[in-house]
Amino acid sequence: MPSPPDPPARPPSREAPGATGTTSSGAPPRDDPTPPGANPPGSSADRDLEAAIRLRHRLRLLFERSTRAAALALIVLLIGHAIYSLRERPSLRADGTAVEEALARWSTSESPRRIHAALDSIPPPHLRDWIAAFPGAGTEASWDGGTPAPSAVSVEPVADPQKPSKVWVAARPGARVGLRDELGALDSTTAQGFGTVFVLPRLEGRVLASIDGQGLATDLQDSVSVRSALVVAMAGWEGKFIVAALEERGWQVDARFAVAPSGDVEQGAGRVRLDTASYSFVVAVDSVIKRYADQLPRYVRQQGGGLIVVGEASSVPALAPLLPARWGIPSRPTDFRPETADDPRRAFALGDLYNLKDGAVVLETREDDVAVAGWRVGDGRVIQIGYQGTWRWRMAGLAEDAVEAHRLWWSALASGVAYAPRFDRRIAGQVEPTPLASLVDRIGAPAPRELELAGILDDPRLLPLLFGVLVGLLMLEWVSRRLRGAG
Amino acid sequence: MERAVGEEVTGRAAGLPAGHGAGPPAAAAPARVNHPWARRIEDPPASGQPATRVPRGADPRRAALDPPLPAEEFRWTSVQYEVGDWESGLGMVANLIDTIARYTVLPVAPRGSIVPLGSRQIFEHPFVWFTGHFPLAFTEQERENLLEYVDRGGFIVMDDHNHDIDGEFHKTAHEEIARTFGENALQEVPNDHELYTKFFEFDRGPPATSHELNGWGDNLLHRHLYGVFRGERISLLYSSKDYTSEWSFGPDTKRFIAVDPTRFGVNLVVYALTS
Repeated sequence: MPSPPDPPARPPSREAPGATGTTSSGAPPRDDPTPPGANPPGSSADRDLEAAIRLRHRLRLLFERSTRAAALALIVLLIGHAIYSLRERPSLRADGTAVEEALARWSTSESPRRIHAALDSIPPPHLRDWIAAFPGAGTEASWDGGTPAPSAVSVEPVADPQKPSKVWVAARPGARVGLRDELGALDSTTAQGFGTVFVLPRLEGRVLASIDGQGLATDLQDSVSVRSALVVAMAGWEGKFIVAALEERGWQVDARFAVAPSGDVEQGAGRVRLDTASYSFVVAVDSVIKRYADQLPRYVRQQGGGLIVVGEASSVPALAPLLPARWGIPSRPTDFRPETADDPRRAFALGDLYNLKDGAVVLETREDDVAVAGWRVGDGRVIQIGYQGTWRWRMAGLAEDAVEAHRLWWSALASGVAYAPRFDRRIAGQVEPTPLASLVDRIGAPAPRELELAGILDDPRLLPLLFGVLVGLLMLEWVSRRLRGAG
Repeated sequence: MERAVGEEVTGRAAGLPAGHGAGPPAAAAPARVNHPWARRIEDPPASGQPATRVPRGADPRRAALDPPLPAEEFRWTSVQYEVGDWESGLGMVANLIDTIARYTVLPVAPRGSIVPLGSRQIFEHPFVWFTGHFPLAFTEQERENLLEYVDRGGFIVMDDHNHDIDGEFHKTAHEEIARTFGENALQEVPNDHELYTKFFEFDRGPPATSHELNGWGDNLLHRHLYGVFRGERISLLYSSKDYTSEWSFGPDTKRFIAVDPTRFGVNLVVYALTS
């Protein structure tokens, strides 16, 4: 390497003390080396310049030593971390779309002590299973991220001859909910409260729900089998139109209409034997139900049969233990007027239900009066209707859809109590009814981000940076030495 | 406008308490079974007797009903229409009310009603009786109401008071039925239809009337009734037999008649209430 040029001036302190009369080469010194007009040696300007040069020199040395020390410390740190990492595996993290790639790396080339996935969406089931498998291999796994709000979809069969299904969708208020099956779109709405409920006539295959773009899927887990219905009444309009509504809905209805002391007008089976092998539910319209009072408790409590009690049938003492409430005196004759067209039930004569028992559920109210209540009795369910009669809704209701509305109202009551044993259906494939809940169930609750990483050096992005800093420091130190002529 | 026809109500039904059932019907049973046309509980079924059945092996006395709680009454209702003599058959109402009370435990109103076909009140009465002699012409409102009444589940009986298929009522009634329900809506009711066995049994279909047997009117013995069906249910029953005349007699006259001709009216009512 070429020798660096001499510095422009050397401090006098570096010269030998006794060499003031001769030069180092042995030539006699000049008497007055100072050119005319220049500052003489030993003047104050020279001393200032010399002090500045010395200060700069010291600073450079200090800088070089500092960079050397920093580089050395960094090298020690990296070597120490490397040694530490050989003994202690690192904690690693991956964000968003990099998670899947990181999982592959963490599972093969790296063996982290702890991993953390910052998710930007619900990962598909195979990634969930992949993350969930890490603890089995000795790697702690955690996650967090801006996942969608909790949501779920559930579908269950309705006890109804037309075999509709009820689809429950849990979603945040205001979420846009769409529903479709394998044949196409079914319905859509905006969620209110904590979700929404769809009642759909028939489903084909898997049910797919979309909640603000997030997809959920489920399938009908089981199906129900319904039996006949039994209507017991004095021959009259209420019994006739209840039977009509149920039959139009598809129920097979047996009826016993009392007409004369010697017997009934019978529809359906010749001899009534109340059990759930024959009847899903019984409708008691009036006091004629007394003749079956001895069979009803066993039918409802032990066999799980349904019972709907209308109006004055509530007055039968033998039925009292099965009823959720007591029945008041009907207060108002039925009187349809235009103002009741929207809700004809406001026009019915109503004996309000009072003294509700523990476990009774109010199903319908009119003003402050309880009009319909239900409860579970043993294995069965009972609905008590305070209206004295409902047939005028169908026959004289002012709305054009009065017949259908009456039919649907009775169908809903029947579905609410009907005994309908369920049969498991074989489900092909995997469904995703609650993705967020499944994620939490599979890999645990999301952990806060600040608790994730054990040390700053665990971040793999930091190592190249530290290496760059190290190289930079060494280069600076080298350049500095070369510029001042040091070796 | 709904009107009561109380002045026409005579006989036992007139003595019934309002809301029939406040007093136990069983109390009236002895008088009922002593009547020649009433059927005793222990009587064996016979032709022309009620088609009700008691479960085999069951004590028929136990099958008898307890006194019912107050229930909505059945009310015999006649139809008033704009064009025609709708009021020509009101004399039979009291007889029919008496008959229903006599043979059944149905709560029956002691008075009949009259409702205009063109009003909403007709929908409060799922069973109505329609008769007349004169040419019939429905207003548009009457036609709409009739169609809606049938679709909602009402049961209407149209009886030709002329018992004459060449008469004006028969011709115009058929025209109006065709205009309202369609050309082929009126179908023959088979003689084994449940209508004829719903309470009393009529093995040969609709019972003949004395007017038919005497050769009055069209001098024909009509073998069938006709109906407009909704599914399997008869919604409109058309008769050329003139039951209106046959049943228009004083209730006391029943004592002198061998077979009560109004028994078929019970079948009509029971069919309307249960089908």
